[in-house]
Amino acid sequence: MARIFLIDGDSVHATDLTAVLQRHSHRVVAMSPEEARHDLATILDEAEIVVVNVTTDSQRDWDLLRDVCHLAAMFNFGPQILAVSRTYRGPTARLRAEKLGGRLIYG
Amino acid sequence: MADRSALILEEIDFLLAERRELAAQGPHFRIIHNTRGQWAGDPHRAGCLPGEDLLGIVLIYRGREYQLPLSPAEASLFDFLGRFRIGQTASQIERGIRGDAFYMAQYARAWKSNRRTAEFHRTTIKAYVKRIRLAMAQAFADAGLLLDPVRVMVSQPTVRNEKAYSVRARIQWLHVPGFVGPSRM
Repeated sequence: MARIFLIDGDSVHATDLTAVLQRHSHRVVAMSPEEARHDLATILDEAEIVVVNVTTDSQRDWDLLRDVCHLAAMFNFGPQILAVSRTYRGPTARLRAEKLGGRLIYG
Repeated sequence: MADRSALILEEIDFLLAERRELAAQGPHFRIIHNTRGQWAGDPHRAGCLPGEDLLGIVLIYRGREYQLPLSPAEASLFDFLGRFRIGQTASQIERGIRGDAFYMAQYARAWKSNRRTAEFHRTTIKAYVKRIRLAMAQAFADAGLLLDPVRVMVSQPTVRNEKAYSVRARIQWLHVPGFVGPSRM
């Protein structure tokens, strides 16, 4: 149904989420943050949705989310960005993601 | 995982719907006119009457409003272009605005209150377009809306040596009775 790129440093979470998304007919490509950084522009050009796992809440996670959002804004109606976190970080983290141009879901 | 994945799937559906809507219609702007105490009639009518005041233009995104920081001239150009589905060249814009009682009445009022009179010449329209894009960029950034203003405030070449300008967006006019006083823009 949708072309989804999943950027996830947790391989177990990535496998589980990929399976769930594929069961709902989404085409999913999963990759680590390091792989994604190499070819971010191509990913954003091809994706309709980019999912970024920010569970660790590290500066690297948020820097990657920021870069993805900033680059996505340069495309003609580019992909929508969804951050996911398995750990609840409260409304502040959700607002932080929204200010970058993404959405954050605890899931 | 089941409950959590349901949340993610629901959010993905929402984002896909939002993306389709943005691609089809562009972002949503609201242009607010102050009727200055006159009966406003249908508050969402597209036609505007002489004597009304262009209060401001806001981007509506995910239930919040973000004002575009525009001068009266830039806001008037945005308002004017919002009425056309097809692009307008600088000479069409100049003729259209000068021949419209709503815009002319607005300028007359601005003149009386010693404000800078907005001038519409073909030569300045290009500069106004650039400033509208800058204002859009600021509003998009504030809203976290991932859009390039060049794709919204569009300029397309014509067969002649000039460009046609259009706003690719969903535009809604809102008429509020407001207060009777000097123009706020």
